[in-house]
Parts: sequence; structure tokens; C-alpha cells
Amino acid sequence: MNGKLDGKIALVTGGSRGLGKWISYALAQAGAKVVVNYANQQSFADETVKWIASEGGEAIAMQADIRDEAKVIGLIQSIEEYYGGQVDILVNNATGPQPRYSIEESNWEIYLEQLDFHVKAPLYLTKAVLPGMKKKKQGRIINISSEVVQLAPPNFSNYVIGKTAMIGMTRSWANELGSNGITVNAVAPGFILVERHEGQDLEARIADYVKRVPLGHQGEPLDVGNAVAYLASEDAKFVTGQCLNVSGGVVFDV
Amino acid sequence: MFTFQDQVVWVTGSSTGIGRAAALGFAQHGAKVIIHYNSSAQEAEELAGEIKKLGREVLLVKGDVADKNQVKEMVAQIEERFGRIDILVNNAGSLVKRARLEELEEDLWDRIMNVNLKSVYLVSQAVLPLMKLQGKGKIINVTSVAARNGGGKGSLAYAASKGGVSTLTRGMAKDLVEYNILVNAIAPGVISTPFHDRFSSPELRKVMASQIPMGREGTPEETIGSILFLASSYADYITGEIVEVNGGQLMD
Repeated sequence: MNGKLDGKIALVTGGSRGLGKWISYALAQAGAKVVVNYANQQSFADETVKWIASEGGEAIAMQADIRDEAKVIGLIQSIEEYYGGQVDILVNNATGPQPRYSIEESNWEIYLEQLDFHVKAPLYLTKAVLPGMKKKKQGRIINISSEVVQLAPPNFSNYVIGKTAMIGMTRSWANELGSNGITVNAVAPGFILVERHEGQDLEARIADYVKRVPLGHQGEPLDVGNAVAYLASEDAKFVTGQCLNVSGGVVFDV
Repeated sequence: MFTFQDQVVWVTGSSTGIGRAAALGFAQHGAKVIIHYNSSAQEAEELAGEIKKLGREVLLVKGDVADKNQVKEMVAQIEERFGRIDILVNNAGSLVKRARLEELEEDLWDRIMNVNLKSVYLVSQAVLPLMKLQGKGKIINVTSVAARNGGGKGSLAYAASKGGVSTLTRGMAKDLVEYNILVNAIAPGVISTPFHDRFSSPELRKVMASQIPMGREGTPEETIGSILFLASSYADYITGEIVEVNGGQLMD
């Protein structure tokens, strides 16, 4: 891969594990300097950074609970000090636990836990990177949504609502920021296996799911990383307000 | 990011506009390119010259993409020269003429449907045996924002034909997935091409641009990154998808 993102600074929230790790990797492979943000597990973040470096990429791990606005402001300042430049690419990827609840079991706190990751954190992060992007008259904001927005599985409304909010956010921010040369898009991955699924008995769920996938198999995390790298590049500079499905054809946008 | 080294790519309607930019884009990324034209011979020849300068192989084919026999003939020429078609970009199309419903003659309706919609069916069907034999293939259709917003003034038939292209994209994606042929589309918004030079007045273009969040028309070069992405191994888990390249004019 060659350097379509050479010289760019990218911030991937929740970048140490799961899809975030592979998004960080794909952006680094395309030449970006990647900030791998993590909340708790420094060892995973360090491992990811080491792995990216061993593959010829540039990355650094930075801790911050992105649900806390003061911490977000601190994170962005640290990035600007460390790299001597401002964030060009923001990937709102971080998620927390994704428990399943029926409506009867749900309460406002349970919904808020999802909105913290999918709405609050992206808002704080976007506000914090906007001055730099507006000054440069360019920027990329990529929100990691999900196929659940369209599939809307039962007993999962907490998560579906969080991911659906990201779509409205993507469109609204795209409209607001278009004239500043800043694009805002979403990626909607399918059911892709990552660390969080380890140790779970998913055999039946996967078998059932794969039957619905036209391509006949689950995707790989790098499929998502590559889609993000494309949206972050000049190749997508007239694409804004869109949601790109990376789900083997499970859902078609109409 | 993408490489198409030695892959054979056929872009229909590639003498001007988006098709031309796509043909060049694939050539710049290593592909062997088949340029197709129907009437713009001079532009096609010039493009062939540019691609040769890049050191890539190029083949020119001429014909009406809405005529089954001519399509067959073109595919035979490609097969003879390259023996394969890795990527097909169904780009050929035209607004033909603006007409409101009350002015829309049957003949004009047929011409618009044929060049935009029937062509996608005929060309895709004709390349299918080759792609099946290869055990893989990628088809990228060029639809339009008009497929979803009904089109600008006097372009309802064009919009309907592109609505057909979008639906055909999803249907083909399901139909061909068992052959490992992935079918996706891009939907350009208002792009600065001979298409609009010919069919849209400067006043209309100003109005259209003012309705785009990015505040301007796109360029043909700005559409091809998305075509290259969908055609590349980067998008091997994506099928039936339509990527809107419209500066935010319409969001999905």
C-alpha cells in the first residue's frame, strides 16, 4: 500500500482492540500517523502500537476516557503537542459493553450507557478537533455505526438506538461542515468477530447469521479498516453524509 | 492504496466525463483498459494515447451498448485480445434530452431507457460467461442521485432509468454472488462533465450547486476514487452497495 494518507494525523477512539485496532492499522498502512486511543488496558494499546510499527506504520497510544469532556480536550492537546499538528482524521469507533435487554428490562441508565459512547463522546471529540480542521479547511470525521440500524434485532434497542443516532449525527454534521471542506461519513460493519466475542458460545448465532449474508461468510476486521482508509483518503473527497455498509450484502441502502 | 496490476477493466462510455476519468484512474493503478465509445471517436483515440503513455495496454471498442449484437461483438473483441474481464464499469448513459411528462414522446422514453438501463442488463449478461469462468468478477454500475430524488427539471425519464439501475444493482448482487461476482454502484450527484455542459443551463447549475452542502459541483476525478475502491480488494466484503458521491446533496 502506498501513502495516500502521508502526513495526516488520525485519531481512532477505542483503537487498541477490536475493529479499532484494524482501523488504526489500515490508516497507518496508508501513511497516517495514528493515535490509538484507549480507556483502560494500556497493555493492549502498547501491543497494537508495537504491531503497527512492526508492519512499517507509525502510531502512538494515548489514554483518555472520551466520555469526559475535560479528558477529551486534554487528549487533543496532547496530540497537538506530540505531533506538532492538528488531527486530520477522527474515527469515532469506541464502544463499551453491548449487553442485550428487553424493553421491560431496560431503563434510562441502560440507554444512556450506549448514548455516552455513540453520541456524547463523538460530540466532545468533534468539537475539540473542529478548530484545527476549520483552520485547514479540510478534515475527515468517520463514525462507526452498525448494520443493526437496519436489522434492528429485538432485545437490543439500547445499542440500536446508539448506532442509529450516529447516522443522524453523520448527516447533520455533514450538512453543517460541508462548506468547510470537512466530510462526515459513517461505516456500518456487519457481525464481525473481534476480541470481545472470545469465550462466548456463538456457534448457533453465527450459523443463523451467515445464512442471511449473500457473500456467505462473516467479514474480517480489516474489511472495515480498509473502508475507513478509503473514506479518509482523497479518493472520497466528494463523499459526505453517507453510510457505507461493510456487511457482505446483508443490508442494502435504498 | 489500490492496485489493479494486469487486471482487465472495461469501462463503457469512457471517451468523456466520469467514464474517461475512471479509465485513466484504472490505468494509473496498473490495469489494462478497454475504452468503449459509440460516437466520440476522436476523444476515445486521445484517451487511448494517454493510457499508452502510462505504459498500459489499451483496447478501443465501438458500439451501441443497448444493441445485443453489438455488445456481443465487443465482448468477442475483448475476449480475443485479453481472454478475460476482471472488472466491468457500466458507465455509459445519457440524459438524451430534457422533457416534462406532457412532452415525453414514446420514442424518447425508449431511447433513455435503452441507453441507461437496458445497456446495463445487456453488457452485464454478455460478460457473465467470462466472469463465471474466471470464478470472480466485479461489476460497478454508475447510477445517479436522480435515482432517489426524481431528477432535476425535465429529467424524470432519466431518473426512472437510473432508479432501475440502482435496483438492478441490488438484484444482480444477489443473483451473481454465488459466482463470486460482486456488484456495486456509485451514484454521482452534480458533476462537472460534458453531460451538464450539454443538458443544464449555467443558471440551473448555479441553483443545483447552492443546494449541495459542499457548495460546489464535483469533478469527474472526485468520483473515480469510489469506483476504484469498490473495484479493489479493499471492498471484497461489500456487495449490493451504492456509494453516493454528491457532496452531501442527498444522504443515505
